[in-house]
Amino acid sequence: MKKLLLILLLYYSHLYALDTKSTLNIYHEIFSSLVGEKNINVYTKDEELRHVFQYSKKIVLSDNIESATIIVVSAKADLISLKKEFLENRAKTIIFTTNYRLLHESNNIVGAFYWKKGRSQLLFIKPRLDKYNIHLAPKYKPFVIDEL
Amino acid sequence: MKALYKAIILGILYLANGTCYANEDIEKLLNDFNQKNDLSQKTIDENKGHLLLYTRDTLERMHAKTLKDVLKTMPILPYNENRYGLTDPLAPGGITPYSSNLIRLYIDDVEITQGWMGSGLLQYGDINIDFVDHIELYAIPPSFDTSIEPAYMTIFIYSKVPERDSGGKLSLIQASRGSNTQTIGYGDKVNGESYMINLSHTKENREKVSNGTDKPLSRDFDRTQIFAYVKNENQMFHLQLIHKKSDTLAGLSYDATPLLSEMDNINLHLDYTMKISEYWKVQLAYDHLKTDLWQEDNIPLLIAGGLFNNTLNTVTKNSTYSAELTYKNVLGKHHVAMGTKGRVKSLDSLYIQKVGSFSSVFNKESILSVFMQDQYELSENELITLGLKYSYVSRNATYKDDNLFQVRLGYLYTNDTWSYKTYLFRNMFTIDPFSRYFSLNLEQDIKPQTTVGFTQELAYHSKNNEIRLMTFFLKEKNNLLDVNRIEDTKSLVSVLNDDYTLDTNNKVTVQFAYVHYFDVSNIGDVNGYNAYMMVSNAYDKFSIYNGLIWNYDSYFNTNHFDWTSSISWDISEDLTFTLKGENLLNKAQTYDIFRINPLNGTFMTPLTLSSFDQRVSVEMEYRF
Repeated sequence: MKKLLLILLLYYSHLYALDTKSTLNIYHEIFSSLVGEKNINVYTKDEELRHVFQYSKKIVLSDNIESATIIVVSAKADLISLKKEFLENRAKTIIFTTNYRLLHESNNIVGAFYWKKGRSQLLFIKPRLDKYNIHLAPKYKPFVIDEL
Repeated sequence: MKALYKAIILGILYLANGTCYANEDIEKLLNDFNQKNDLSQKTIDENKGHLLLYTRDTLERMHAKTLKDVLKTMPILPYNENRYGLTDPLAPGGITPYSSNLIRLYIDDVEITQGWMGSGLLQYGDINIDFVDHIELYAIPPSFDTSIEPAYMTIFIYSKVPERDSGGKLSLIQASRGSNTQTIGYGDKVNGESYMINLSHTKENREKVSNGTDKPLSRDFDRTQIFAYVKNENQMFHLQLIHKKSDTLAGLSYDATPLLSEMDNINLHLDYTMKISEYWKVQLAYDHLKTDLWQEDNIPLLIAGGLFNNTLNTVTKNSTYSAELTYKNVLGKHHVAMGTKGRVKSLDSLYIQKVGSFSSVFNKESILSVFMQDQYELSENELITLGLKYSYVSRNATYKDDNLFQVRLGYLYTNDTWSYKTYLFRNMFTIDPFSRYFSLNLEQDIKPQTTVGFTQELAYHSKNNEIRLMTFFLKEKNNLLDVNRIEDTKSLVSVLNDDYTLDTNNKVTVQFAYVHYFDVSNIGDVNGYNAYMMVSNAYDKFSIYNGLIWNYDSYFNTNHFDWTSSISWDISEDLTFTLKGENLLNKAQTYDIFRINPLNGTFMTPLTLSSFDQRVSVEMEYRF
């Protein structure tokens, strides 16, 4: 049932909060395609994503990168701090981003789910997927590019 | 042009075929994500009135570059200009300085106003909207918690956010007659603080209007615009600056044959909003407008009469100070909003060349409003809403004060598929101080307009389709657009809007509006019809848009068509080229400028012109 509250006032709530169901649906699809595991450990500093992921039965939020299967970065500052930690400690964790610009910043980021002109965009970069030995299902073909 | 036609036909064929590219499952997930996470879903308040929404996706598909591109597709009070070439949808064609004070403009929930001169639409009606994410138009009658002054229609513009538009963007446009626009913007979020700055410059060489002399009327303009904000979860600060130098078409010339008709406006807007607590919000805003006006004719000018003869050069400065304190809370089944709002409009100075500083006795208008609105949940699907507002408008000198009482009663119902809302309301409006003071009709004692209305809206929603049918019946007493009329004016408006999303790449919008004006002075009943159809398709790296606006007026018995078409090519993720044609049939809606023979005072044949030029443009967008 459509909640009546949707048509009521917003009461100065957080303006950019993500819709939980549709966000989890798409991230479940993306993460499953990357790692194929039933439960996926995800590390992210993005507060909005953390808030949404806590309602997931498939995504388990990690507090550190060591226990994560996938790292999601949204801000450049997070990527800079991550780069250092990542290089020192881990080499195999998959990095995904919600910011297209960050794809240019690091060759370790395999793909991005981001906004462009009011529409969400999904993008994977083939050589980077190959580096992790990730083979996406054929249905992802339209979303895979060879280079930026 | 042939290539463009070919591309359009290919686009339509593609749409008809209904082909989906990529995997349908992922497409569905992306489509669902787009719809439910569009920024408009976070700002829409259905109880603000009857909504017409232009999402970011829609604005991008339309390739809308100015607010004018958007407002011209409105079914109710579409974009129009006045005798001075300024935005004025309610302009009746006469000499009134500004007639659209009842239409109010907001950016990020803060009203932009020209204060003494009228509502914000006057200067912002055709602004560059590169900084805009989406636009919400609320038609009759807006809720009282949003507006300081009474409004007939409210236009809410929401700016882009760095969460979705981080980084920079450069846009260069070259258009017909040497027109050009340069825009650069940058936004980011650092440690919880979001900021954005957007600068643009437009040199617009408009179509000239022949007036039977060797000096046709001009409405060219040169505008520089800055929009900037910094905000976090609890505070928001905006700075906006517009400098617009424009030719003012017929200006103050009786017979529309000015020797000189120019204007230079500098408009500054600052605002600050702070969430004091979960329930309380305070907002402060300052608007300043400096206007230099140059008018010259070979006969005495319209407004100045014999006093200033054939030339007039004035410098006017006015400031507007706005403040509001609002409280919103949920108390059981009551969703309560209340508060107080105040505004002072000040004519700071008026300098007239050859005369010197002109000390006006009427130089201040103040508005103090208190409002209360309750939305009571009758059930999980229904609510009833009651709003009350009282505004006291005080004017100095001998000008009369006004007491404005407004009430709105509404009922809303919604389920998964259908929604219905209806309002019964009484609104009161006053004319802007500038028109009151400078009008030839000495309108200082003009009474406020009282509008009583009944509106209904039925909507159907499905995954891909959204259909809305709206009907408004309005009765006005002391209509501000027809001040000499004693009888009430009545009108009936119906709008049908259907947004159909075939998939993430293909979308169709069909809109039809019917307006019936009862017993218009000396004319009788008048019918107006308006339709808008938009088809947008995307295939691979190409996006195609076609929009057709049709207008019919029973009084003039004329049909007008405005066809806009564009094709965009995403060369890469960062670089896009767009070719756009506007008013391609050169049959867009027209309006008349009345002319008076200064020798005998009789009306001459009016000049007929369109607010919409035939125009072709090429744009390059680069994101960095």
